[in-house]
Formats: sequence, C-alpha cells, structure tokens
Amino acid sequence: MLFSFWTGTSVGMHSELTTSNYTNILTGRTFWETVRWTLQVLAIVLACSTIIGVLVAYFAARVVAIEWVRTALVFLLFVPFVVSYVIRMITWIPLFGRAGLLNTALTEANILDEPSDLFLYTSPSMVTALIFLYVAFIIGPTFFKLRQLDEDLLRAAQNLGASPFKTFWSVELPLARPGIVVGWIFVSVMILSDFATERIIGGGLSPLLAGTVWRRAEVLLWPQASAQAAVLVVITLAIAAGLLRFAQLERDL
Amino acid sequence: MGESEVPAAVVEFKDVSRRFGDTLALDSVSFAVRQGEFFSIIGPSGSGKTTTVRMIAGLEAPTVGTVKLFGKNVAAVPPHRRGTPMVFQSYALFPHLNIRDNVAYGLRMRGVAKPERRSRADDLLGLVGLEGLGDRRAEQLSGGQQQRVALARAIATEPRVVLLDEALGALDAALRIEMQVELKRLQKELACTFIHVTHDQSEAIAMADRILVLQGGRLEQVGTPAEVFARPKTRFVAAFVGQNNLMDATSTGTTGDGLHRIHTPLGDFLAKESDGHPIVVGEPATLIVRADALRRVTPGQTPNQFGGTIAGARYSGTTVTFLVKASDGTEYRMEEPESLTHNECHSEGDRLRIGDDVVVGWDADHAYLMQQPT
Repeated sequence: MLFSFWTGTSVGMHSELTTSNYTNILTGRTFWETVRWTLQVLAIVLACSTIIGVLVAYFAARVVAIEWVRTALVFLLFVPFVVSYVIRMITWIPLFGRAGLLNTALTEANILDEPSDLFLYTSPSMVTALIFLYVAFIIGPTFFKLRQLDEDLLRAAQNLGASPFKTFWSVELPLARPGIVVGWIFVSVMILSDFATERIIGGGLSPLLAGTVWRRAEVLLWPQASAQAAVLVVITLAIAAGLLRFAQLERDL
Repeated sequence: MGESEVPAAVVEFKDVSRRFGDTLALDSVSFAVRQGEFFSIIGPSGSGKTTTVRMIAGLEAPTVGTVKLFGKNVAAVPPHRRGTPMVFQSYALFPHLNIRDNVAYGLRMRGVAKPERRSRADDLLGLVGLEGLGDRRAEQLSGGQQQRVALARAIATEPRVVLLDEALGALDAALRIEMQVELKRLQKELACTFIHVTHDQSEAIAMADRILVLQGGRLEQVGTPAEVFARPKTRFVAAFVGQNNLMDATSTGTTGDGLHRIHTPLGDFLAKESDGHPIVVGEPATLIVRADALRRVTPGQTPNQFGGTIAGARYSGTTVTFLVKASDGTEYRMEEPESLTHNECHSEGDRLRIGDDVVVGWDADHAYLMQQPT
C-alpha cells in the first residue's frame, strides 16, 4: 500500500511520496476501459453461472431422490478443486485448442471445414472458462439453501395451486436467494483477483483488472501496480458490500 | 327419496393401500367423507393418518386402490389442480412474504389481480381476528396467530375441502381449545368440508361430525364421536378413544336378566353385551370399563369390585385421574370430579394419597363386554 504513493522511475522507485500514481490511473482511459471490460465480464459470468448453477443445484436438491446419489453429485462438484488451478486451466488447451478434442471432433463431423480459433485465446472462451471454473461456488450454497428449505412450504404452495414451476419461482428461488448471493460474492472476489485465466485461455488479448496489475508488477512498475491493486481492492469491497445488502443476509444468519 | 337426501361424497377411498418399502402404511382402507362434514382422522403415530390426508391432497399416491374427489378418480391429477389446501402443524407460512401476501398466495396462483387479492386477504385476516397485521412477517406473530394466518390462507380460494394435518398440534392447551371452537365456527360458516388429522382423541371428539380411527394402517372404526366413544368396535378403539380400562375376560354363562357372568384375573363379575355384538360363552373377550365409571366403593356394595393401591394421580382442572394398581399388577384409571377430592380435603376425610389401599367398583350398566374377531 505504501508503495502506491512512492514515485516510480525507469529503474525502480524511491520513497518520495506522490499521488501521481493514482491520478495517472484514475484519469487514464485505458484504466477505465479495463474496469468497464472487467465488470462486463463479471456480469456475464455471474449471469450465466447463476442460470447454470441454480439449475444444477435444483436438479441435485429436488430431482435426485436418492440420498447417496445426491451426496455423490455434490462431492463430484468439488473434485476438480483437488488439482491445482493451473492444471485445471491447462487442461482446456488439449480440449479447445486448434488441435484439441473439440476442433478435431467438429472437423471430422464436417461441421467445420478447418479447425477454429474461436475456442481458445478469445474473449468468449475466457468467459466460458471462468464460468466453469467458478460455477461450483454458486451451485454449492444454492444447493444447501434448497435442501434446508422446509418441505412443508413446497407442499403448502402446491396445495394452494402452484405448479412445480410456480413453486420454484415464487417460493424456492426467493428463499434460495441468500445462497445464490453468497455464491456471487465468492465468484466476484475470485474473478476480480484472477490474473491467470485471461492469459492462459483468453490469450492475454483482453486483460482484466487483476491481470494489468500483474503486468505492471512484471515490468517492475511497483508503485503503479500497487496503486492499481488498491483501486481493485476498493472495487471488490464495493461489489461485495452491494451484494451483501442485496441478499439481506443478516435476516437469515 | 331416501337416497337423494344423502349428501354427495366429497372424498372417497376405495380399498386404498400404500406401501413404503417393506412397510404397509395403509392397508386396504375404504371410507367416504360427505359434503359439509367435519371429518376427523385419528390414530397414534404411524397409523397412516398423515399418509391418508396427503393422498387426498395428491402429495402421496396410493399403491393400490382409488381415491375419488367429488366423484372423480384423481389418480392423474397433480396436487396443484386438486383445490385441496392444507394447514400444516408447522404452519408452513412463507418466510419471504408478509402475512397479507401469504394469505393471498392461492389467489395469486389463480391469477387474481394484485389490488383485488390484497383486499380479499385483508378481509380474511379480519375473519380470523388478525385485522391490521397484514404487513407483519410470520416470525413476528405468535404460534396461535400464525395458525390463524395458515387457516386464512387455506380458505382464501374458497375451497370445497380444507385439510388440517395436526393443525393444532403445536399450540398450548388453552389456545388449542380456543382454536377448536373457532375452527368449528368457521367450518359451519363456510359450509366447507374439513378433513382433520390428529393424534388427540379429545380434539376429534370435540370437533368432528364423524371420526375415522386408524391403527397400523388399518381402519378400525368410522362413526360419530358418540358411537366411537361409547361403542367402540375394537379393543384398540376402546383403549385409544375412550381412555377406557380394558380387562381380559371370559364369559362363563348368562344370568336371567341378560348379563354375562365373567371370569377375569381380578375376580368374577357381571357385565352386559355391547349392542349388536353378541358374546360367545367360553371365548376370550374384553371387558371395557370407562375411567369415569370406576369409583371408590365399600366392600360388598356391588358385585363388580376389586382391591388395589393408588399408584399415581393426575390433576386436570375439573377432574382427577387416579391410577389404581390391582393385585395382579395391572393398572386401571379412575376418574373423579375434582370437587370430590376437594371436599374431602376440607373434611380431612379419606382423601386419596399415593400408596393408599382402595376398593374400586362399577355398575354393570357402565361397563360392557366386547369380543373382537381375530
């Protein structure tokens, strides 16, 4: 934090205090471009992983009737976390790279004439990767919230004329909301601090905030990197606080 | 003429069985509930009463047999199309909605517009004595109030049948009696069929037009409270509903005036048959003595008496129930008006204490013999 107020030079930094690191960042167009892009990616990832996460959680909590199958499903969800993040990310390359499984399958099935670059090192592929990386954090809390729910509530809703879909929409979804929002907080914090996915999968072409911090640190621009990191922390805290308010968690805890 | 006067069956069970794995929760049960009836289903836990009421609501399906609602087989009708709202012991109020929106939930599901369903919900809250509480949340209300909300929610769509699953079970005794009166009033006012499940026989006797007694998934008896209470068909009903004393007995013959001479572990007594249930001499039977028929007697006062020791006493407002332990170790309940004990307390007379020896007896008219087909 202190570094962020130091003055950067071409060969390092010295301890002369300055706010220029902040003014440079906050007035620079590229910085706000990156913030906008980061928030856009975050919003898309949250939206998609909420839809996928809630569906999977609902399936595991309600459709699966056998207790041990349910437990196994939830357990499977967290198996990928046994291997390290880097390994998980690198496995995308043989799957989605030019000579990867997906391209091979699609060309052999004559759906594509030649291997596509779309699946790797692009923004959509990065967003997809982020969704699959973090969707488990939405599924988990949502699943537990759904399981906690008093089943009499569902029976009451049905007897009052609610179809299964209306029961889901009017009872289960509102009551699972705190679980979903807890998931959002996890995912937001992790995406905002994720500097690697956009490089490995996104190809480093459309950097996210955490990635730009990393890049500046790499070229030893410590003061600028620290200042950006400080801004990043503020943004992260603001988002987390906003989500917490939305969840009205204090009512449930 | 006679046929047309019989009200149509609202709910009809025909040979309905329900199997959960290896256990038979319901064993070939048949009964019918009439329009406008307050119908209670009673039985100990595990008797199949909740399964029964859930089948009406569509929350369970019969393994065998048919369930009819308003004369139609509802096997293929999902719960939300049955129009059978249920009041739960847990109340099951939606925690994310305020009281008004809870009551209006059924109307919302039917697509009633917001202003209309809200004003309707407020009317209903008035009907159950909760006007002005519409903006509160369920957790801010007492148990009794939540119970009323659950009831208002169930009747909001003007259903023809309302199901109550142990609906009063979570209330304390005084509140329960208050709600019993209120439920009965509402049911008459709405001219709606109430099907009510309880393990509390006194609750059923207080409210029901007819009672269905279940035990171990089998139907034991259906009848008016008076029939079930005074003329139980089975030994189980006698013990469960009437809080009766049961004694193994064998008839050794009849006297001139229609009484049986019976032999029991506690001596030889005289007893009459229950109406329409002839007793076979020499076959094992059960003597049923109501707790309030048993009283203290002086030796020789009646032919029906035995000696015992007071093993316990329970005061319940207007009555005191003593537990009399007979010489063979079996226990019998003797219910006395509280005033009796009270007076004797003043006169320092023979007020009963635990450990006292007593001779108890009963009039032959207040007990009868029953032989249960096995």
